[in-house]
Amino acid sequence: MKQFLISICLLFFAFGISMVSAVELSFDSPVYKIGLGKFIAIDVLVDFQGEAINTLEGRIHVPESFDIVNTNTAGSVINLWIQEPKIEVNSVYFSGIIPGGFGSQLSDGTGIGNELEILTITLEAKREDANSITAGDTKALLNDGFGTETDIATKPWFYEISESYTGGGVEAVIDSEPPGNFKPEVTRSETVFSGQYFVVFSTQDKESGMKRYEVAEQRGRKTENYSVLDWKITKSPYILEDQTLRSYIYVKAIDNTGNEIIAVVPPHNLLVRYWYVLILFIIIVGISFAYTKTKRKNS
Amino acid sequence: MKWYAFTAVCFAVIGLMITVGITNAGTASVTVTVTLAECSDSIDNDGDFLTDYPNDTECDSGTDNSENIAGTETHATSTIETSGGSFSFDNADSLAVDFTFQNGFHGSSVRLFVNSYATSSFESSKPAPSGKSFVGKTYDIILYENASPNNSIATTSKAITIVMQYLDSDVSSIDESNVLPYRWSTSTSAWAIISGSSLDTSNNKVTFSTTDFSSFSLLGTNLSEFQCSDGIDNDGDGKIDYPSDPGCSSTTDDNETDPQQAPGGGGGGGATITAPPQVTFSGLAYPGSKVTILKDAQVAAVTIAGPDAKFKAGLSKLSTGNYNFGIWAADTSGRRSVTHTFALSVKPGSSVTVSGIFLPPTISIDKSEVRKGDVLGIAGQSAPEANVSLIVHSHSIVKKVTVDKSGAWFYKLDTTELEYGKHSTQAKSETENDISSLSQLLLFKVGTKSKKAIPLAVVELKGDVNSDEKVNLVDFSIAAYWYKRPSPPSAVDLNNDGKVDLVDFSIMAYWWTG
Repeated sequence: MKQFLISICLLFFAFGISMVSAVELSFDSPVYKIGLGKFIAIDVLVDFQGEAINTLEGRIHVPESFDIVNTNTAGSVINLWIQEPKIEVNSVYFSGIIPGGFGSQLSDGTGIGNELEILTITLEAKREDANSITAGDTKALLNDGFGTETDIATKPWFYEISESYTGGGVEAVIDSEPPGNFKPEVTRSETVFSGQYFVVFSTQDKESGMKRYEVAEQRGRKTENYSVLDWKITKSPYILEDQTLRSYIYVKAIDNTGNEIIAVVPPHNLLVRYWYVLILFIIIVGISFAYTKTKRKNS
Repeated sequence: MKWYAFTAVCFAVIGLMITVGITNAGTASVTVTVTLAECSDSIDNDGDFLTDYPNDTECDSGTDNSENIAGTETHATSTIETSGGSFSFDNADSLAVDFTFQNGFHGSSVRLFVNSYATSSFESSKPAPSGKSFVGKTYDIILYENASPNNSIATTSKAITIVMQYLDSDVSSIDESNVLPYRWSTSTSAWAIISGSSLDTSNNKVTFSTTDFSSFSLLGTNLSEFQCSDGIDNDGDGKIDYPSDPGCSSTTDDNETDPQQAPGGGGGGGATITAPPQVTFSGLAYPGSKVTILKDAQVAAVTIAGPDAKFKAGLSKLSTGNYNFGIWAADTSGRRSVTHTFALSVKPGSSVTVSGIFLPPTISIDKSEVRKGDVLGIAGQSAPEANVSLIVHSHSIVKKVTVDKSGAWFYKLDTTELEYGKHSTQAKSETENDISSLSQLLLFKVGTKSKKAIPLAVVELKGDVNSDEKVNLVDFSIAAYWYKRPSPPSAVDLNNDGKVDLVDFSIMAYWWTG
């Protein structure tokens, strides 16, 4: 009897622990009965349940009844990606940080709400199926200065694909705004890239999401004709070709709608940057010298 | 003919003409129509329950031919019952204003009274705010009690939804994306934005809800207010406005200058606010402290708190979307606070004020190891005359100390009551009206000897991989390079476990300065 009571107590205790709220990862889509061949957008959501989280990682498993078309991070709660959402075979992997941890919510209606978006995945329904999209390999770390891991629960998303269904369709995003202003920074560190100079940059596009970055370097005067520059598609950090830092560095951020913004970093080589000051100085010195010499000659 | 004969004939002809005229006049059928002025016709012409002069105050005199307010282009009234309903007001040029009343919007039936005026009608009596212009018609929208016709209703129980239209020509020199509804405030004699509106630029409509009634108008920002559409070479590069100047992304870009960065300045620098702030932060830090505002992990603004520790900073030109804002401060001794973060949604035309921010106190200890029985000095800064609660977690000890007028606090912790081993301490501040969150957690050890702690101000920030006294995108990029690579440098391996993984990034995220 005693053992029975103890067992019952332990059972209730374990049940109670499992009821303690943990960070929760879930999915949302306007339709779950999808027509064959249709496209749908699934939001991958996280509810921090009041915990101060600053790091998230996870893998979204997508059954073979879907093709993964693309991902979008326009409304993501993650500010910096350690690994931007990467499409692998039947899965999407992501990891990133929220510096300072996710903020407290305001209760006056200006807050974001509890279910926050991590990313959106666009899928194409390829074959009839009744299955679920799940998340695994998930990690959530607390903003406590020690990287303490906390529990994260996941809720699967159930769906049906059938030729008889008409559900599906993805709305086009109307985005007329370029990505946000940003300030690239040129730096170097002995610990990376063999001490070579590199440029780091990051911005976000809140409406259609970031597509890519391009970098160009050019010596001489700053150009206003960006179309003639030799643009290279790249990511941050980018190792500079001109390690003498005599070139203007142009960094272009492009969103998924094609809007773009260009940030320009002037040459860090002071001699190149202030060449006109140097020439002026030489001229002044030259004139002074010539004047002095002429005066002496005349006297 | 002699002159006198000629003269006689002339007078005769003239007399004949007069005679014929009188005769004709006398025999013609004359219809006389007498039209009384609206202000003396015994009719409530404008439906405001006030008839004629002097009852209807909109009448200047009995001969005033309009009971309406001067300048009224179109006028209409309608009775709305308490069960609600809808009404469509059509201007002369077919621009409509649609009203929707909810069931129970008011306790009794009302008379809706709508006057529309030309765009320029309010320019002298109710001028638009600086930099803005009226869009389309301007309106007086008034509700009267049907039961008490002379009583206008200032506020309804439930909001009435109004949809106002405008023409393409109304926004030819206006930033259409910024068209908003405004209501005239009689208390401030100024136009006030009606929040929560929605703009449909495809159909030239603005929808909003209101419980208060007076004059209404749509207003938008003049394109000439933006540097990229003002016809001026603002940045002196020889290029004027969008699209000629490459520094311009659109006609509503308010900065012709190309976005560029001085070397090494990625983390610091303040925001120059040229437009009304969309998000404003205010609260308490430490006297004279440098307060940094982060927007999505990057420095957006820097301000200095006053001697009373109060600070205020605003951000503008934010795109619509969700943001994670962070605020931290460095006290005058260089100690850094934890970052206080806020998640906010920025919507078009709206402004958000986050006030009452109370940054937790800074904290430092003078020893990393203290001999049992010796005093451990714990110090920091907070708002002047606040009360600091110092917590030693291992023993649930809470000590109180008052912050002096300069913002400094100091406590001598007697370690006699602490056991040998590791301990941790944190602090929080409290004023009459508010309480802060907890400060950074500091670790110390009670042992057999004392060891001085490195002053917190000069301790390398964890995550400051390149030793530039900042933890920002540069450090993140370096750490990202070493992610999952073997043998990372110790500066990058923040928890000294021989690898760079998520834990190191989490530690970096905690110490983030931007």
